[in-house]
Amino acid sequence: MHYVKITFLLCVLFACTKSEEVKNILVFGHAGMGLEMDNSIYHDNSKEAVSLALNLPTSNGVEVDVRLAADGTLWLYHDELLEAETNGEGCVSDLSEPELSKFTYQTLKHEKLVKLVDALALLREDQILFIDLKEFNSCQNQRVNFPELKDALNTQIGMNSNRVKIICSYEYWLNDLTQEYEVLFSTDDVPYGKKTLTKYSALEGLVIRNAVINSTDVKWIKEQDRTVYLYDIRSLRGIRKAYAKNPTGIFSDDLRNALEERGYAL
Amino acid sequence: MIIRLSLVFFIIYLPWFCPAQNQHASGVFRIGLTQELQKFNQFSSARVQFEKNKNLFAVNLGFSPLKASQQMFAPSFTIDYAHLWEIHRGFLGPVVMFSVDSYVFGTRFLYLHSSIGYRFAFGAKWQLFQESTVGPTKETFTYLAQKNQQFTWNYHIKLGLQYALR
Repeated sequence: MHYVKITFLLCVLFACTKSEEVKNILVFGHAGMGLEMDNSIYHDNSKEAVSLALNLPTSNGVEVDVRLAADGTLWLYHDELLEAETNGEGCVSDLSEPELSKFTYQTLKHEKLVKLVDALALLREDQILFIDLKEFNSCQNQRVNFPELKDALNTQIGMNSNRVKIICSYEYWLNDLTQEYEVLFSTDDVPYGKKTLTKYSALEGLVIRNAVINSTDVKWIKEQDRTVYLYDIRSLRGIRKAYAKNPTGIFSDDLRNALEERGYAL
Repeated sequence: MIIRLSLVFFIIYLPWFCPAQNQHASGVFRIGLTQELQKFNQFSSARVQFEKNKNLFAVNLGFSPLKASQQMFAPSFTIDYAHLWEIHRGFLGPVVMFSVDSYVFGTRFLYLHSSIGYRFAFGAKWQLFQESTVGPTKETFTYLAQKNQQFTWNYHIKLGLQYALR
């Protein structure tokens, strides 16, 4: 009788089948292997984190946070101030490559800050890199110079533009950016996001926090032939909730579990 | 390095290498179930423990219910050693643990863990114990002909219930 019970339990555990919809959802690492996740191993936006995220089986790519340095180089860094996470001080926008290349994250592994071109070199042919533009320089209390930022993007993305998508949260840059790149608008305000999609016809879609959007809004966005990517997905429960909304893709902070939950047979 | 590690193990397992000094006490076998939480995964395990002269050696065999819910089988094998002293009505002491777990997702993921920490146990015939350890973990997988290997610090929090056979 016990064998029957155990067999039944195992059948229940292993019998679940994943829907076809889930298998079509794209999965990307958020800032590499996740933001402030203890199982990410490496610091967010480091070369090691991006490399690991891209090397995981079935990974569709990564999302990274990009800032413009004073010399026009583009660097992966999430926070506004360097002292928040590294042994450096100030803002990326006020420093140049010689200084930035010396800084390391305040972790046991002391990962170095990495340039966008070095992260791009890690991409496989079938993978996509989402560039989340961090447009504000909090040391100067102003936005970075847009023409300089655009020049830097054009120069440093170069031949990889077909494998790159830009995420922008500043509405007034959308017209310019959409002329050359596939651009997604990032907001946590669903009505504002939908309004912006209607206003900018060249916009590819929205990047929005998982908790603020429901499946009806996701469906509406997809019905407009636009894409919708969800982020801030940290737990297995959160991953399952996000998949239930059937978005175009997710930026997961727990990439291993997000990929495994989607399944291997694609 | 290997010589140093061998010395450490020799010292830890010294009581078993010198059985003549421990002739008075007889060993106790316990069987039990444990639930473990760690950085990458969770495991439910069955456990057999042998206990003699405050030295406890156990073998655990388990699987990850989390991976099972994702239609993957992730077995885990752990050996641990503890030396517990009786403190009031409970037992407390250091524990050292080595474990390996693995699963297949496109390729085989292999995790090797070693850790050290404490165990607190309560009860005689039926014994409840809690154990917390920290130590390095190595993650290995090869995908598209590229070998990936990472080291990281890991924690292991374990809760278990054991029954003394004799």
